[in-house]
Amino acid sequence: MKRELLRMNHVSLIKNGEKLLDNLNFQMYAGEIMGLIGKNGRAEEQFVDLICYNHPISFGTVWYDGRIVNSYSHSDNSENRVCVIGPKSSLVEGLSVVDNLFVLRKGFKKYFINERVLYEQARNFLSENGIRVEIGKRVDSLSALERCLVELGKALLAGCKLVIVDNPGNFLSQYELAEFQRMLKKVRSGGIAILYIGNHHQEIFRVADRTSLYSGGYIEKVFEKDELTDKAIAPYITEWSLKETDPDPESEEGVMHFHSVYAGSLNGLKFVLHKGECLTLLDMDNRIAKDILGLLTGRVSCERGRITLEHEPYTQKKAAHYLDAQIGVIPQDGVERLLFWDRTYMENLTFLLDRKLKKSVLPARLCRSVRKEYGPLVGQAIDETNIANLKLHEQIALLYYRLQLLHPRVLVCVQPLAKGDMFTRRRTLELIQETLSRGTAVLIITANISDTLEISDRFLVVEEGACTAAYEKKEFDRIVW
Amino acid sequence: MNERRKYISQQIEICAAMGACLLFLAVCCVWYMSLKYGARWILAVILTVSAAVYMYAVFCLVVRPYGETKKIYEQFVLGYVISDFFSVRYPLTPESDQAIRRLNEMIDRNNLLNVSKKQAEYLALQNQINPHFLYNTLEGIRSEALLAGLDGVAEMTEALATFFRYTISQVEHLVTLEDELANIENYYYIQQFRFGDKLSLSIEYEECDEDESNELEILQYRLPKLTLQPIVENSIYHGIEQKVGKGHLMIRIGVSDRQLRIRISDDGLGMSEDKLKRLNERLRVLALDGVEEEPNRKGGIAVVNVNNRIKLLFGEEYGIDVYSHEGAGTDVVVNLPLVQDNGMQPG
Repeated sequence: MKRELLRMNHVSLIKNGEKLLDNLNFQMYAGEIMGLIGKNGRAEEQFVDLICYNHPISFGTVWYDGRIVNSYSHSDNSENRVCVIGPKSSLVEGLSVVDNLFVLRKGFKKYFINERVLYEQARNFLSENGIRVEIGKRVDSLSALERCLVELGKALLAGCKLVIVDNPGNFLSQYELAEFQRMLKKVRSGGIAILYIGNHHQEIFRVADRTSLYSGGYIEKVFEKDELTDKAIAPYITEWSLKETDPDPESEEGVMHFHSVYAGSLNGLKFVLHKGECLTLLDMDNRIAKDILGLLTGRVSCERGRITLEHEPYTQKKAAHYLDAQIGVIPQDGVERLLFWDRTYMENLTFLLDRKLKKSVLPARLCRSVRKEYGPLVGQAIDETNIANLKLHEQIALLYYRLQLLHPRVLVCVQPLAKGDMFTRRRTLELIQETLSRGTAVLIITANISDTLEISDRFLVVEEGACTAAYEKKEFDRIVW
Repeated sequence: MNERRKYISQQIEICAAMGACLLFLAVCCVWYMSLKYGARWILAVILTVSAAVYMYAVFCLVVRPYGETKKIYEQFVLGYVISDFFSVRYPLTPESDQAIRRLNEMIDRNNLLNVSKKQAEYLALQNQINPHFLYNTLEGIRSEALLAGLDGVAEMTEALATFFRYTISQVEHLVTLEDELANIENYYYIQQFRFGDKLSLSIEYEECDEDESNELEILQYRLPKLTLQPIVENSIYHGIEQKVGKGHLMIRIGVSDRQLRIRISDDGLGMSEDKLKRLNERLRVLALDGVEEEPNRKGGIAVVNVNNRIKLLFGEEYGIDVYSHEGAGTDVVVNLPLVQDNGMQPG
């Protein structure tokens, strides 16, 4: 018989007059992997926080491990034995794996530490749980996967019965993710419950036993094991379905060519990007994005091979002025790096226009024209003086619109869907679609193929710096992942 | 007189605030004297520590319990809780505790009357229509149909007789899940004469693929009679009937160490977010007025009433939750305690 580990019954949370959680019902059993897809990221943080800590709630009751730990009438702010593995490390850098596992453990009270015994215990514990990590290694030199595994081991040692995994697809490569998911399944079989949070339903469906769709403070639907299919979730996400763009007659013409390029982790990478085409590079090792961006922005030079832009050599010198060569780049943390937080929306939007028009002051007529064109697309946000007040999808749209104004020949997006909730993801896909419809070629570099296939025309798998597989759109159903 | 001032709690709060201020002033005075005259500072330290300990004790023993009791009262006034109100951990006075207990006894009787109101309707129906007369008549129709070679009519009459027998003949509170599911299958059989292929039904058991004994064990758990039929009826009339094309109903049964969980899903029209929120809000609240009539219902007992019955019988942690999305369908989840004995108190 299944053992109930967590139950949240009619939980409501109101803060500053805002209803963050609204009559939320949620249940998890021991030894299951429950997926959690955030449809719009509203109050997701508070939801996770309430699982970890028994902070005051406005209404409802929370049971954890068989007893009431929180209710509207009584909250003691205590901590539940729950561990969160997210993009940020919870380990102490500078210390070794074994120190993090044992010495920094709650309840460790020894004043004299026998290192030999400690190492032996750590070795036994890790091998028992199938965790392959060098125990003497310092934490800061661990790979993302190793760091997650150590955190998982630490959770097991601390007696956590519930482990929350927060969007691992955003910081693990495909290989690492597959390995991590294998470990989660192993841990699950030992009776530990896993709450696997993510925005990519395909990624979650691969590993979950059940999946909850979380939408604005309540659970909209719980998908059982046999319902974890694209067909079952389709009605919940089709409101943002994308329109097909007409094929560009000149699309066969190559805009950018990588001719067996060697640089950093690139090991003879070659591909061609056509006009108006969306090409996705699946970075299996999570290493090439930095080098490709370096090459395209002039920070890295080609060791061997060459890059051509519309059949003209794209040298490091040209790349140093990549915007003049009509190449747009949106890195993974584009919102943080490319937006100017002390400037208004319009100032941010027209920021690069002076460069294009070669005018130090933009004519008011032009600004009016931009406002007229983008006002209907952006809505009231266009008048925003403090862009920090905007929602994430509006900030992302600002980035894309800024680059659209330059009419780039190529737009390079790194992990464009890594951030935000399901709605933000769909909005980003729409923005890429709009960019494509303007004739710009889009190159997506991603470590997670979920959803990008929907918009891609071609798909290349890159392993150890070189293409190992290529798929046309009609062959996407053959992709095994 | 100010409306709030009439409450004793308000006066106590004012007095407590004044007491705290006086204590603070006393501590300040002692410190001032000690610092000014350069002596007896140890007395000031002792007084400060004592005041801090006293305030902490007041917080733990008075403020926090008072806050908890107040919150329960607030939620009771809003109609969200009932049983919590009758079992507060920190009653205000022995007399108020006794008064609430007395009220509980009175409401309990009232509740029982209300809960059985619907059953009384069945009893009334039973009195008006002698069941034996009804069964005999239906049996007569069945025989005539068989003689005339109308097998379909005969089968339908038999199903109808079985349905009535279950609905109006047994008046006990709890029935086995097996009986309840048999009634659903019978009800589905009757509906099939109307809907034909448009409607399909499946019943599944979680984690029962290879464990037949587990399934048999689950079927022996008890639940209030006619818990599932009204929900299935709602799913058919509000979800599937108005849908273009075929509709599927699925009943999924799962058991954990604490609950029996039955999910009735349909792939019908679903409902709007607004309507869903309103419905779930009604399901969260336990209505003391017992069995309500829903203006839009087309026969059967409404979901809200089933929810009220479950909450009254087993407590507020059990009941019904609804999940729905327009165009995708509706899931109605019934949470029940694990009850195996008809006469036992659930828990």
